[in-house]
Amino acid sequence: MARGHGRVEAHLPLNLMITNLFFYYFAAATIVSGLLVVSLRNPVQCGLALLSVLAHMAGFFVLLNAEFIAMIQVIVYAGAILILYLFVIMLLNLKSEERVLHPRWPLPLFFVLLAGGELVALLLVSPFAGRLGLIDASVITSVGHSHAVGLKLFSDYLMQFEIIGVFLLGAVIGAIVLAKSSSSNVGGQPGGNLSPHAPGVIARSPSNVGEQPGGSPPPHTPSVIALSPSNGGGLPGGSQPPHATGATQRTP
Amino acid sequence: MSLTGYVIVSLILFMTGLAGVLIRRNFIIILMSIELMLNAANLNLVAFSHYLHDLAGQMTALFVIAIAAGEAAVGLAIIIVVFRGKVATNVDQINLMKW
Repeated sequence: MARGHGRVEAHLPLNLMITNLFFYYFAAATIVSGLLVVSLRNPVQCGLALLSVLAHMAGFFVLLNAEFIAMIQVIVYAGAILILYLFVIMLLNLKSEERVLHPRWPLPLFFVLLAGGELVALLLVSPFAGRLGLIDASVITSVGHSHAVGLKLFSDYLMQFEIIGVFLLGAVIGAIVLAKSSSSNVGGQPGGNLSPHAPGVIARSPSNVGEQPGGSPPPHTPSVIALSPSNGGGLPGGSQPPHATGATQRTP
Repeated sequence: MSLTGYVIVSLILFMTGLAGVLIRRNFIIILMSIELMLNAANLNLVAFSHYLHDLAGQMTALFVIAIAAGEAAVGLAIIIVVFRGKVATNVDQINLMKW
């Protein structure tokens, strides 16, 4: 504010006005898209609304002199994470349901609105005082944001950076193990491995086979085909009565 | 624009995501609402980082993005495993571990 009274006085109102204009546009677009993510019925449309939220959030980051974060937001979030979501939605072939909301949805919504109103009231009386650091917008624009972030990241935050690397490795291994374990398990089952976990498989597979014509995606079919001979051979034979008694024992 | 505007937008987004987690029944939509909350936290961090002239908030925002990537990968793998077992992404029907 004190800087604006100098020779840049003629430029500042227009500059500020354009910045405010972009801020209001990004705010309106982000909030509307966020509401659409929560309220749309079709999961694919929810994913596209989430894409709009992420892209406009990158616009916020550009307004805040954080270009590198904006790039990472577009590349990692909109380019990788969201595509992963859309892949899974289309792989699972999800239909839009008729009842998308929780049966008692007004109660959580009431508490959310209560907490939001309280936080807004707190926000409007908060002074926002803090100790200012050394790296302001002029330093960032003079040296480049990626340069500044890189210097900071590989000097002060090197340990956290490596921990994040190990975390991502663990997440990748965990995701692969989770997604692969079932199919490798099924591949080993027709040999002789069926009996140890027969109750789980038999209890689970009728619903699986029953829903099979409805919405099973093509990558799903090999495991189901591998599963269904043992299941189909087992069901008319002797393994149906133990499952039935187990089911009747469990229901009371 | 002042810091209060950014914090209010971030607050509205966070509350939207929280409402989505609480009232939606589809597992994938719940994960998307969590992404919405993480994004609201990112906006808050970057806004404070800009107005306090410090890069620490942007470092944390980078780490939050990385953690969101890991969370999405593991969460979607869990969804695929659950969907293989019984064809449902509805959180009311996935209650095997519910006390």
